[in-house]
Amino acid sequence: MTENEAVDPIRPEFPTGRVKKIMKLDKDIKVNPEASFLISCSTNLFLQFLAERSAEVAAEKKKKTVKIDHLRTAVKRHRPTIDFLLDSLPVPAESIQSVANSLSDRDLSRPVADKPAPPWLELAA
Amino acid sequence: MERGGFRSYRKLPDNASGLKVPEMNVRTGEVNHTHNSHSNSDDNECTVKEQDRFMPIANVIRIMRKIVPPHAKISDDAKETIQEWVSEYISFVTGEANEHCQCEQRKTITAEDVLWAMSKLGFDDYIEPLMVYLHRYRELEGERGSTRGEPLVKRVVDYGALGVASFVPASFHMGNHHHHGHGFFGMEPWEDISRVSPMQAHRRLQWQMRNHMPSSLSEAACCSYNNNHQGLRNDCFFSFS
Repeated sequence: MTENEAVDPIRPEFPTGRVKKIMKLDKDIKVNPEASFLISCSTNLFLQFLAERSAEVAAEKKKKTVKIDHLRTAVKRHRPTIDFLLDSLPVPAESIQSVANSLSDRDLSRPVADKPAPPWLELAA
Repeated sequence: MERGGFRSYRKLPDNASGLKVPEMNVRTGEVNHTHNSHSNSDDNECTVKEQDRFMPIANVIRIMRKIVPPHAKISDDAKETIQEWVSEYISFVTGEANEHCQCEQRKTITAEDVLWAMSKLGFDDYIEPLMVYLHRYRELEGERGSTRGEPLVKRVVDYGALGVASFVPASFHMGNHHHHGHGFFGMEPWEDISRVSPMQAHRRLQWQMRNHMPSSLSEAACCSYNNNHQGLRNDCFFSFS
């Protein structure tokens, strides 16, 4: 943070109204200004965390472009985040194709137990 | 890439198990379906819903650009995914804070509830900088409401129930810091906290914790918070000097 930003009054990175709208998707919720301010600040920290960890993963794989796979790997390394983002992790395109192929080639007479587990189940690990 | 589903983490009151029900799956599916249509009215309605559900992508990208290396690129679907995850995070934390608020039979979520949710959900690392932000926020709000400046010490004491000093670990006044007088959040007594960025104060505090404090500040801070959240502990603050 630059010196000017340290001296200037706090300016949240996200629009206050939008933060409140997302918080109030549950219509029963009421929130005071301090709470919405803290939510905005913590969201900023969370976003910085995601960006930093994803960039690290991309650098580990010697890639210049941060992609979804890097996001997924970064999230899986942080337990509090994976706990609530597990259901939201996008399925890799390769897994979708492999499942489609396996479904089209499946022999129904073959016992299910002999089949290997689909790759996307690894996301829950 | 088709956008994934954003699920609001509303906890239904009649769901005894407390399971998080993905309520917005159907609505998201509807949104995605209409988003692919060519109807202008459907697109407009979909646009409004998208705007309400997510943070502006420009804000998200700007923050990411500050963090990733200058030469790094970010794929478009990664940007959109993070945009969704930001909303997931907000909804998740808000849900927990709201639950805590309701447990205490209050109707309005406060900063205290948010900080409680941070601790409960495992985001303890955020508590310290958030406390610094909250202190600054209250200081600025106090300046807007007052006509004359007041000493920093007195103003914090006057803020009442959620005094930031109440989050200070009990061991702060156990004498470990001796004569250094670390002051408030790593500040020296002669420094003005308003001229130090929250992250700078946070880093100072972390250094002090590593060198003078118990290894788990967040655990101690949470214990102090849980013990003292009903009121402000003046003795915690004044023992800094």
